[in-house]
Amino acid sequence: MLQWLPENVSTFGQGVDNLFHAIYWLTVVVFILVMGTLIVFLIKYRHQEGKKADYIEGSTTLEIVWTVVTTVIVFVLAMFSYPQWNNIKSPTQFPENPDVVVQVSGKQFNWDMTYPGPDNEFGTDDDLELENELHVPMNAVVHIRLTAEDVIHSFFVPQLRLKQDALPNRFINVWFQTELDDKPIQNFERLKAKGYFAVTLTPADANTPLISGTILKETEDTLELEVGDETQTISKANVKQLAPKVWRYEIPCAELCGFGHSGMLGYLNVHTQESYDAWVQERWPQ
Amino acid sequence: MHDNEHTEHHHEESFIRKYIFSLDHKTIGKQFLIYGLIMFFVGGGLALLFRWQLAYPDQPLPIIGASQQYLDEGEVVTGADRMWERIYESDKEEWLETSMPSGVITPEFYNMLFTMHATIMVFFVVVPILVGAFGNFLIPLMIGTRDMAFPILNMLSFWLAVLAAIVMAIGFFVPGGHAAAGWTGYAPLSADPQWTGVEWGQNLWAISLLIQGFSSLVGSINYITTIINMRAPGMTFFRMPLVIWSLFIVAILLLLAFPVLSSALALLIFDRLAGTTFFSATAEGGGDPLLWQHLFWFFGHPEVYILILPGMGIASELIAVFSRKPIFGYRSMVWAMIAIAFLGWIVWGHHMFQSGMRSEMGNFFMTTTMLIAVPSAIKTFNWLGTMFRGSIRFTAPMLHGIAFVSMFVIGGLSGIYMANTPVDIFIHDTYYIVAHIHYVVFGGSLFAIFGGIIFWFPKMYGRYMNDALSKIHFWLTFIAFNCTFFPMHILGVGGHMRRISNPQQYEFLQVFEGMNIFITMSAFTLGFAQLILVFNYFWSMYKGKVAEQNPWQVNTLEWEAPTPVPHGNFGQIPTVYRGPYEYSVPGEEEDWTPQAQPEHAPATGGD
Ligand code: HEM
Ligand SMILES: [Cu+2]
Ligand SMILES: [Cu+2]
Repeated sequence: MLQWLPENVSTFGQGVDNLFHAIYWLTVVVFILVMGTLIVFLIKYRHQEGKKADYIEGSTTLEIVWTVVTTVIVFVLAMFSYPQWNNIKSPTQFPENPDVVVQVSGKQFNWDMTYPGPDNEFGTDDDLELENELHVPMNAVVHIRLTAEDVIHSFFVPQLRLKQDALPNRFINVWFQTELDDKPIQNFERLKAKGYFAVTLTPADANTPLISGTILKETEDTLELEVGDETQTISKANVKQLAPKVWRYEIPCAELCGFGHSGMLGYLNVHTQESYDAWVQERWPQ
Repeated sequence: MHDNEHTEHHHEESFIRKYIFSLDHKTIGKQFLIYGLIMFFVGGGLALLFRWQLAYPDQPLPIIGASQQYLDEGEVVTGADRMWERIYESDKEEWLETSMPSGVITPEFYNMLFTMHATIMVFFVVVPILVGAFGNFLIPLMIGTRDMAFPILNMLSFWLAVLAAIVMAIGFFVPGGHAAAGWTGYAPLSADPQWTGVEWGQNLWAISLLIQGFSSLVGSINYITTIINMRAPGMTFFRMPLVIWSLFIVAILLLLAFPVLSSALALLIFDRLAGTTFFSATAEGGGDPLLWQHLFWFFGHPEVYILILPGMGIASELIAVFSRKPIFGYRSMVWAMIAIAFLGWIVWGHHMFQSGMRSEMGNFFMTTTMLIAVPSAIKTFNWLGTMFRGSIRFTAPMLHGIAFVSMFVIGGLSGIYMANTPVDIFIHDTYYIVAHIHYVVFGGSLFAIFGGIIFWFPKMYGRYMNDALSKIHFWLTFIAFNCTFFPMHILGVGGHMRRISNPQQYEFLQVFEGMNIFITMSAFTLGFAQLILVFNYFWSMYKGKVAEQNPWQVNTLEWEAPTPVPHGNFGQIPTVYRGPYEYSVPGEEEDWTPQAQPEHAPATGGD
């Protein structure tokens, strides 16, 4: 069942996934044991002519055993969970000196992103406001000041294993750091699901020039790429390797916020360092 | 109507006194049952509407929706097209036109649908049936008394519930539509009409729940008083059947929890109508949206246990009776329920893990929540222990009891994922929660309700429900239920948010299109399967096989009363000699020993 989890790309996401898996196996085992016992009992102790049930009122030993065992299990589970939770949600444990600080504000029905600009201060002239587009460099520590303008929204990036409600008149700090690899890849399966967005393709035919574009659509064998103003369909078989420039992840709103809640959607663009520098240069030309 | 020769009462009561404004706990119980079943169909119908939208986003509904030709070219082809044509041509703003033009559910309407679905199912179906119907019918009969302590309050409780339902129903037809802020009514969305466009709908929602709260309060005071004061001679607390224990505990929870909701609702109404800002934060000051969540969940978590405890009680009765064995660990079953009721007050924060609470609070609430899984596990093990070396009869009620246990196991286990704060970061507000809720409330409470109805039907109406129909209904429901709700775990693992009207708007949810269609088809099957139950219910009332006084050979006192139970219940109040689950006692000829059967050898007595 857990293969349905979206790709994880954050540093703390692995910890979440590990717990997810641990609880998954714990519950699967408990489920099989309980259901197995139930089914065995139902078959073995079904009513048979001439056979009476045994008069058993209970067993104090058993009661103590299963109380203690379940209590121990849940405490052990809790012990493993505290550090993960604190690591993600406790501001005192955030990595200091973030590479990027952004303010994200939910409002019916958009995510407003505010960058403090080169002076690193909000509320000054060099602030940059973007609607629904968040840009960060890969593997950088990002701090987000999360707030909302009207009602409660919830900032959710499935691939980061991050979710935090955004409240009006309150600033909640969240952080994340991606863990991505920008080495060119040769395996072209499920590229979109893995977030590949802006890419540079090296064609198999050495004489053809590199192709840079953004992935619009993907089938098992082909890629539909937007290159400049036009759309090209390229067979994956004709590609030697693919180098990422930008990964793109959806930022749905996860808390009911009105009629536009469904479809309230932003994007997290994670750039390679080079691509991010270019983006910064474009926004705040020196 | 019927002649009632069995009634020992001398004076003839008028039809109104007897069937409408009745003071008899049994009639009131049946009234609550019918009320709950009617609301069950309203709530279910709403769900089918929004399930259609989830499977086929923005496509017109079947039957009442316009045809594609009509949508594309305005060409009238079907009868539905003609209806829409008429609606569009009339000058009046028709209800259908604003909520689902051409049969396509608008996002506003969608929000209203799931809000009202959950509100109705929680407050107008499960609680009225479990507490109102079973509570009323069973408490006096099972503790051995003639009626509730306060029959007039009892009647009031039912008619307040009717009033609440009427107020809630009006909300569907006011301009701006009904409440659309979720059954949890989170502020500020619910607190200011400007955020939803909903005006009186939300007000009526709050007022109706306030009235429903009074109804519950009145009922719970009655239950508590009756159970404490009116038990038959010999009926000590620890000889009470578990279902009575569960209703007793639930009545206390209701008494303590509902006022919290009522005060929150009152503040909400002030915010909406009197311009206060209890639940909205502005730069100039004001209140706090989180205050609503704390109040709501401080009520809400005990409330979810109100939804399950009587189900546990009913399942315990069914399993003991049809395994012909004493409940395994009767006392620890009671203490587990008491533990659940206590712990239930200190776990509400688990609904708010992602609300921005301090991480220390998250740790606290994770610990308490995981602890509450312990008594739940104890109960499960004891049910298994009850079946161990029993003599299990697979009657229709027992099938439901077994389904209750297995579905509750799934719901309890999925609760552990969400109690785990790091994992909850991902699955909070996804379909994982929706799966969890339905495994506990539908898989749990509703299966117990169905089982309980079939089990006590002979005592209620003097006839059996049709066995074949009951079993067909059971299997269809069981299979369709799992096909509907199990895949929702997978949606949740995939990150599928709840409360969105169109998953196709998200790239990462495209893969789930097929699964959503499958769920919707299963949901329709599940919905239509319930018609069998209703048919069976009303058919059996008049045509079912006539039942003897104690058809399932049960020990508890309700079966001592003649069938149909007369006004006043018992000819002579029975005396209780033993616990409720003395089945297959060694040395006894029969495999059951009724609570009211006198000791034949006083020397062995002494409980
Ligand atoms: C083993 C016991 C249980 C545990 C550990 C547990 C845990 C949880 C947690 C942590 C949540 C919040 C999840 C979130 O919003 O992220 C939740 C939600 C919920 N639970 Fe349980 N639960 C348990 C049993 C039950 C039972 C017995 C019921 C009711 C009969 C129930 C009904 C609900 C409902 C209705 C919600 C969702 C409320 C909403 O947001 O609309 N749970 N549960
Ligand atoms: Cu939203
Ligand atoms: Cu809860």
